[in-house]
Amino acid sequence: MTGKRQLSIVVAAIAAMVAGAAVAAAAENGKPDPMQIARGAKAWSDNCGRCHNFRDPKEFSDKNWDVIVNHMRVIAPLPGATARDIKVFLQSSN
Amino acid sequence: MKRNSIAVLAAIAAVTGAMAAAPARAQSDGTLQERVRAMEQQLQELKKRLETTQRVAERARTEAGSEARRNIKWHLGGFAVADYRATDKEGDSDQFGAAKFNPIFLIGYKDLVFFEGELEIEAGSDGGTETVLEFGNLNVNATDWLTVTAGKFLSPLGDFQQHLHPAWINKLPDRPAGFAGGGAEHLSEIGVMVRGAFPVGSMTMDYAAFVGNGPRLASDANDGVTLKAFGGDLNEDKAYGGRVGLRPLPYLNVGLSGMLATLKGNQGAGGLVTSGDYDMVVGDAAFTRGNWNIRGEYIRAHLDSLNSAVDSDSTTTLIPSSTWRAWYLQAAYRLAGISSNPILKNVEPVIRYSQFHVTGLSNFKTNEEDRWAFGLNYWIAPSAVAKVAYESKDFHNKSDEDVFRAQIAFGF
Repeated sequence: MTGKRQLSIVVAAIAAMVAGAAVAAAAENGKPDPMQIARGAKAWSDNCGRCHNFRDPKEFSDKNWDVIVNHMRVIAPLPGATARDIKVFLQSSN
Repeated sequence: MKRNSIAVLAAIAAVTGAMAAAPARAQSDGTLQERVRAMEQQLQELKKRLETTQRVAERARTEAGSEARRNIKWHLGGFAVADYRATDKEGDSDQFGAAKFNPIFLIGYKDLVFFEGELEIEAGSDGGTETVLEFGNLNVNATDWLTVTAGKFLSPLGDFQQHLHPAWINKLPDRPAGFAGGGAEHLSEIGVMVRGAFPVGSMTMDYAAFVGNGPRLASDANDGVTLKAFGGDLNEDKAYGGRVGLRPLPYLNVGLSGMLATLKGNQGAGGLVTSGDYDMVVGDAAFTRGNWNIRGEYIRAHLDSLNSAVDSDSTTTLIPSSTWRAWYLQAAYRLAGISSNPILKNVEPVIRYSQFHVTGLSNFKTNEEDRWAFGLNYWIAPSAVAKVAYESKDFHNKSDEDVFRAQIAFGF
């Protein structure tokens, strides 16, 4: 193995470690699961327009959506898991 | 701050350039050194200020983070309405009215405990202000599929009252015939309720079941049965009710509701008072696909015969068994489905037909009505709407009435 090739492998390994650490850090910071965001987007489009117009996620802050979605979970009503998916979608889109 | 840094750096560069271009010719070494020292001092001050700014920003970030992590969170929402009404009814003047403000307080502890309360603050016709507690209840999310609610809550019977009546959601400025006070719709209850929703394959099923103080016979029989929450009970019998809903498709929703109660007759000026069984059945359905919004609801309520006074001045009399029926069918279409014109796409024509019929005691029939309503909405924002509507009211036991309404509503 040439020195140049060895260097490439070391650089690639370091890059992979850095990327892995970044993903782990994102998970630790509570960054949402992309699948949950996708489920939330679908649940939002399936449920929120049944009674009223769709509200833009940007209308409210994360903190507001926390409470508003809980209110809608009770009054709609929505299954808890569906409400959590919708909340994650709204909070990641505002 | 950034501008200051740039200015200082630019000045240093300029001085350095000047020094390189013409050293010591224009100025003595001593003067130059003095100026450089002054520059260095300014730079140090600038660094200190930058550090202070960074510390303040870091503190703000930390505080914002702890705010987001707080377990108790709240939100003040609600809606506001302004209304104009013109009528051809003799003796009734055209007027601005229904200036209402409904603040809704939402407070939650994690996803576990939740309080919701709504006040309706309205400008009264006598110049005063009327305030009503629309609802105020505590909720505990026991599982993903069950929430326990206690306090005053909107009736879960049917769809209109619990989901559609706020002015920024209701497609017309008015409620359907028979869906207001004095009609057949159950408005609110004080008691305990369990409700929730759960998936059934690809469908969603929802349910609600409550026990509460229940409705009362109105003190004036012309008003029928008062179907709003009372903070007390006239008899030991409680009202039991609930709804089962099914969403077989995301855009299709059907529900069946019912309630059982016992109503006590009113004492009036004297005589023997008895109680009568009261039951209600409600069916509702909604199709909300794309720009279409089509929905309807049917209510049938029945009261067995009982002895009661028909008003506070009369003695008790036998009230025959009576039945109330109210229903509506409504269709709305947002023109965004056929036009991308910036004005037209926000326009929404609406049509609604509703009926309120009663059999039994003649006093209960005062408000019997067949009504057509035609409306045109302009959506200023997703939760702000300007509405105009024409209503043709065909009353059975009083003069007919044509009404023009204009309304602006904003939900926030």
